Amino acid sequence: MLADSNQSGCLTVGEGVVLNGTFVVPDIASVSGSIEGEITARELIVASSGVIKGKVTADIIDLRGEIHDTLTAKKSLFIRSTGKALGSVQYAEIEIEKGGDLQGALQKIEGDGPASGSY
Amino acid sequence: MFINKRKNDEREKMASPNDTSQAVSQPEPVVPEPVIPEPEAAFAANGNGAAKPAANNLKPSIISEGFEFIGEIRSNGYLTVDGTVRGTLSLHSIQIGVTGVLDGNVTCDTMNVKGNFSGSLDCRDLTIGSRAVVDGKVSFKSITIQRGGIVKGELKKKA
Repeated sequence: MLADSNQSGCLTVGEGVVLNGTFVVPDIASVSGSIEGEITARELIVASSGVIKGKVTADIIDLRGEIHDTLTAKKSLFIRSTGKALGSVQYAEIEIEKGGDLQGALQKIEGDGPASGSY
Repeated sequence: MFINKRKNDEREKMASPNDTSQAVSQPEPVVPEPVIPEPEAAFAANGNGAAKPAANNLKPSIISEGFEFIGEIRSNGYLTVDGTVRGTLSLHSIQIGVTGVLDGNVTCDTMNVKGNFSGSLDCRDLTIGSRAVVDGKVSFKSITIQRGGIVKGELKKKA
């Protein structure tokens, strides 16, 4: 994974790890565990076991797990087939695979540049 | 259809006036209209009453580009909207083409949006294309959004 090759500015939350609080991640946050609180990252990757509850802000979000409450993707939001986004969702660009779950209030925002996601 | 066939026969005759082998004079047998089974029959065949059956035996209806329809549509078949439709729709399957605009209250099984939808939608399978805009109250069982598709409003997943 990208986070393994370049640790600087990255946050990795392993499976089974539970975090509480506010996190500012300058680069990539990859979450396999569970986070409660506020997280801001450039790129957020939530694995299928990952659960985030709270306010989430990132340029690029790649979601295989769950995000509850508030979610803002300033560039792109990609919900995979196992992904779940519930609550208030803001995005510049969105994609959902069949099986992905998206519920709540949706709002499109103007993206600040093209999405540079490497899907 | 019958007239065209006659014309073709005549043309063939003119092209080869010596060829009299084919019985051009014999009238074409009139083909009876295919009998469209009642939609209820399709329902009955489907033991599970939860999901509507695909109405394969119904021909699709098309609201073409430049065509505007205001009112209510009820069918167990397919509708393609390339023009504009405003009103209440209850169908099995709807496709909104790239140029299509659909505004209103819609209940259907499968919905495929490539154009513009606004209003309230209740469906099982929703597909939103990359150039589509969906705005309103949407409830679905399964959703797919292609990259670039725009969705605004309230989304709800049915159990």
